[in-house]
Amino acid sequence: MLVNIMLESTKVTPAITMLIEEGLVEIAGESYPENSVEFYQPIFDWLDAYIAEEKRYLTVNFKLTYFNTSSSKCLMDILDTLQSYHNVSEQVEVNWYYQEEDEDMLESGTEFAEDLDMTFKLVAYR
Amino acid sequence: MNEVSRQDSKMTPDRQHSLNITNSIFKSEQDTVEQFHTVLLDKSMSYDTLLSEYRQLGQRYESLLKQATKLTRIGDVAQRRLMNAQKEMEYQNMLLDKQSRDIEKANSELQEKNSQLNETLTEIELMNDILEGERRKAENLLLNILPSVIAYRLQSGEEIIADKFDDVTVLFADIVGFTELSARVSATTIVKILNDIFSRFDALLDNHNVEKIKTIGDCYMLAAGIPVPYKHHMELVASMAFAMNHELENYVKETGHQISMRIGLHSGPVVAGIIGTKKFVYDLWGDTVNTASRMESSGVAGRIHCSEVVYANLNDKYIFEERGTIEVKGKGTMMTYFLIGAK
Repeated sequence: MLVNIMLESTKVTPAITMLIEEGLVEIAGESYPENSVEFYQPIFDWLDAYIAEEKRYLTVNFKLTYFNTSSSKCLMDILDTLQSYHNVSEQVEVNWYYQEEDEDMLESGTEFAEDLDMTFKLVAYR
Repeated sequence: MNEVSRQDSKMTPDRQHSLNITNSIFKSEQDTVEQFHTVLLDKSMSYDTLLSEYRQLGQRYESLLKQATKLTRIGDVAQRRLMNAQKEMEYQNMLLDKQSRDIEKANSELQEKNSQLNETLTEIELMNDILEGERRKAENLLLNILPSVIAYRLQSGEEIIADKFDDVTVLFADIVGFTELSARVSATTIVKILNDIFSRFDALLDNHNVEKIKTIGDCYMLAAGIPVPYKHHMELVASMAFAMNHELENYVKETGHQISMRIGLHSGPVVAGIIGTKKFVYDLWGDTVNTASRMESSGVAGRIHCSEVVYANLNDKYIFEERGTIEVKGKGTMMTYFLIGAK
């Protein structure tokens, strides 16, 4: 059964918020867990279930300040999943937040956005 | 055991764990490879099906290539970010090291200055001790020369002290037989004898609460009722006069020197104080002083010669013997008495 998920951030993992009613997913903080797949697997499962059961609009916010390579592979897979949902529903919006002076995160967001065909906004914040 | 198994058995737990994670991350890619092997081994597959599988595998390969390219670029960004962070950390460490060295240097300088300061402080304390010692010596010397209340007034800035006292008793004591003695012994011996006698008188002062004024040759002058007025000044001086006579008797017994003493007493108003700027002496001025001196000079050896005012005030407590009248310069004749003893 699909439930809301809210995890607080740790030194090596980001905060995770996944709300069914609001149709909102948010990943915020730094991501370099010892086992990225183990950490991100519940998110994949939640997305699969949401797409299968809810079939509603979904806003996904990334507010990351650092992630390692294995995390970036997981993020890419999440975006692939979202792209697939968008392809059949057009009900996905992705927001990539980066600190105003953080050019690295802007560049990473731009890389992730490349070849995706859905709403992908780069949003600067102070 | 085949070759692969032997290699696996040599893997460390960390290497095995890392391989598992990698395998998990690339599960979809591994599935694609599996699919490729399935197609390759399926000999019964028709040409059309084979073509379709080939097309799907090609598309998948293209997608994976894009992902690999993207991951590489993102990985480069992350690596650059780490290197920048590392450089920043090294820079911050360098700054911290410099600050630490600066603090250490400043601390060392501070300790050096503190040490110098302590040395200076010790020197100052030593100087203070010396100064305090000198100050005490000076104060003691002043107190030895002057009555304490007068010394304190001088220290507090008074330059001329001349206080009027209405009622004071003045005593003069003169050593009789000294002239004859002087002819027989040396001047040094004379001074020693005088010093011995006057030192004995000095030792009586505190107990009798009288103030030594000065010595003039072989004459010893004291008073009571100054510098602080005191109602029973006559009794104090009378008691002192008996004590001085007693002390001289002892001295004569001890040394065999044939000397005696005339003592004269008179009471009345005086002006007491210090005048001049050098060699301070607390002195008394006035007719009372002159009359007391006259009582001594017209007295008799071994007796205490008093004026009528002394007699009038003490005859209820002391025994007197009428001496008769004497001529006092500027005052005419005066009735005088010998003080014999307490009643």
